[in-house]
Amino acid sequence: MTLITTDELARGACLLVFGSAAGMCTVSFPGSPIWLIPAAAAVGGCALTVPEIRREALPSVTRAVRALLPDRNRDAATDGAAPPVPPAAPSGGRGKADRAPPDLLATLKDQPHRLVIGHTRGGKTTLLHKLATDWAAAGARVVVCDPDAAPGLWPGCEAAGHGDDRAAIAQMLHAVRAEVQTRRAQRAQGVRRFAPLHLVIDEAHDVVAGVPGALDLVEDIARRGAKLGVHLTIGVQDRQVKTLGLEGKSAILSNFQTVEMLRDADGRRIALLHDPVTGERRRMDVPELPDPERLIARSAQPPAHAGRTGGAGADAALLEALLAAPPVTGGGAAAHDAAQATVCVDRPPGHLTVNVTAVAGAPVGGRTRALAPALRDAYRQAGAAGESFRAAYRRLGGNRNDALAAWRQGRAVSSVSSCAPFPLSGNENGVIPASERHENALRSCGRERRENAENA
Amino acid sequence: MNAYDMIQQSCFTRLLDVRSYVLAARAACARLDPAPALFMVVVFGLITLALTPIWVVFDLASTWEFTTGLRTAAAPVIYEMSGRAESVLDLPVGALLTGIIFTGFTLLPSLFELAFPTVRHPLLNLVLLASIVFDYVTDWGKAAALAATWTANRALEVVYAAAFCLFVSVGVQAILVCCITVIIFGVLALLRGGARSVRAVVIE
Repeated sequence: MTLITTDELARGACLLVFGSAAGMCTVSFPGSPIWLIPAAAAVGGCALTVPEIRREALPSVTRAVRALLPDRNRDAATDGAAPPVPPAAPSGGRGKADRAPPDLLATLKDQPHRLVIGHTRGGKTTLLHKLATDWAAAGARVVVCDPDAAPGLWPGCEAAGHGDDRAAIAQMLHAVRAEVQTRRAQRAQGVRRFAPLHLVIDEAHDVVAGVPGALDLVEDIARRGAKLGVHLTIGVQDRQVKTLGLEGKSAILSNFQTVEMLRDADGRRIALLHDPVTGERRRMDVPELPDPERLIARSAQPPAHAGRTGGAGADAALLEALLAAPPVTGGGAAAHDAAQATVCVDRPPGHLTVNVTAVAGAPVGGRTRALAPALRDAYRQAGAAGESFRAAYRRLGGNRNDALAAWRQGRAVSSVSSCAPFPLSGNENGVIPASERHENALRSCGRERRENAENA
Repeated sequence: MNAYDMIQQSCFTRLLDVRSYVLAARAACARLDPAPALFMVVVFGLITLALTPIWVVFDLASTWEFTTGLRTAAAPVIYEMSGRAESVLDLPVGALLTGIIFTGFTLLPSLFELAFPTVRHPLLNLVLLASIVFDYVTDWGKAAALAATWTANRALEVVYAAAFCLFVSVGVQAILVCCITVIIFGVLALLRGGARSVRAVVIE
């Protein structure tokens, strides 16, 4: 239990300093209301030490101060001083500051195992992320199994599960199991101290249910892992034992420090800690934590643990070649530059899985892919043969704009002999009568108009 | 359980939580036998006797004096109200009403300090803090006068006055309330003739 919090210390200091000043004013200036000034300062200072009031009042105070500041800033700028630094944009409570009150995080870090319960957008992953990255920054080995992992999301940690890759999670858990067994053997030889190893499982209801052997490992670590320096942190969406596959083993949950991420009546995030022994529940304010989503970055290389294993044959080679191939025409980014793709072949046997977690940017001009030369020739021939563009496009497909251009080229070539389909009658001198020339022209123009209308 | 009640409180906050003292005193005195109850009543009665003059002089009387101006300004209105009440109800409520209002001015800060020491409602927090500061300011005069007799050093005098003022404005009344609670429940235990609880064992 904390002896005294910073807020309480500040409250006491405010009361003593400003209250004493007000008291001295009452003695020095009897009958004068001047004591109200330090008294008001005392009340205001004390009030700002109350988190609820601070949360409500500080934005108003900040706005009032900012309303006063611009004039000064303008004056400073006109005087040649450096322009004022713009205030940081509010981020709605998430990612506002990395500084966190130590209470919740310190309490959780003190426990051997933790179970974080929270629904979607409840702050569960954010809390797990803060814990994991803190441990990693402190030099501990942190293994993260997250079906929603993304490049850069878990800095300093060994993450698996990108794109719901359960095979990679199974592989990672297998490595942890091997480490546990190694440590157990070392302990049997007299080793008592081990470097901390944190296993963090987010969305555990999916991982435990979908990865063979995960439940056994979780149970083993929860029961006996603390002696080996192996600690478990689980994120799950509800506290039902069935969700974690622990029917009949609910006693195992008493090995965890359970923390429930909730929102209070004002919409603020709170954490409800359940004491595993006494059943006592304690409410703690959730510190402002950085949003882990902002760490996600596109990577030129697939993750090191991407599922490229298992039966990589001709299909895998073909897919990798396609992903790495540059675009046919300029304007588009190469797939391997923009996309984060993994190929998993024959797992389970006979299946091919391609996970593409990003999409290449659209080429300039809105074209998605240039027409292949063979296809372009086919459109030219269709145009030359007088086939309507709609029919040709339905038959051949491809990029519509390129196809239309190719078809028009073919059409233009055929227009040189556009009269060929219309036999010239003419007289014996080869002179076509004006009426027939006019009729031919009308037929030709009418056909073009019909085709243009069709194309449109 | 209310979420606000589940907050982990610091030692300092729990130290000021007079309500929990009162509950603990009531629980401790509920099953007292006559002899311990009598002992508790006597001991805590002596403590109360020692603290009451301090509280009256340095807290109640000083606040009373400080609010004299306020009472003087409000007195005509209050007397008029009491006069009307007498004429309507034909009851001698005037003196009672006046006494209640005058005493209310004085006791209000102390009552707020005692009633809401750990409340987490923003408005009540503000009222509580204002009460504490007001009580502290009103108690300063007499506390500083006493502290001036302890030392000639001006700075040290301020420090002494601040500490003593904090003690008489917050500490004394908290201890006093606890002592009075123990006395009340001790007397009740004496009147009941001691503990009346039995332990039952149910055997299936």
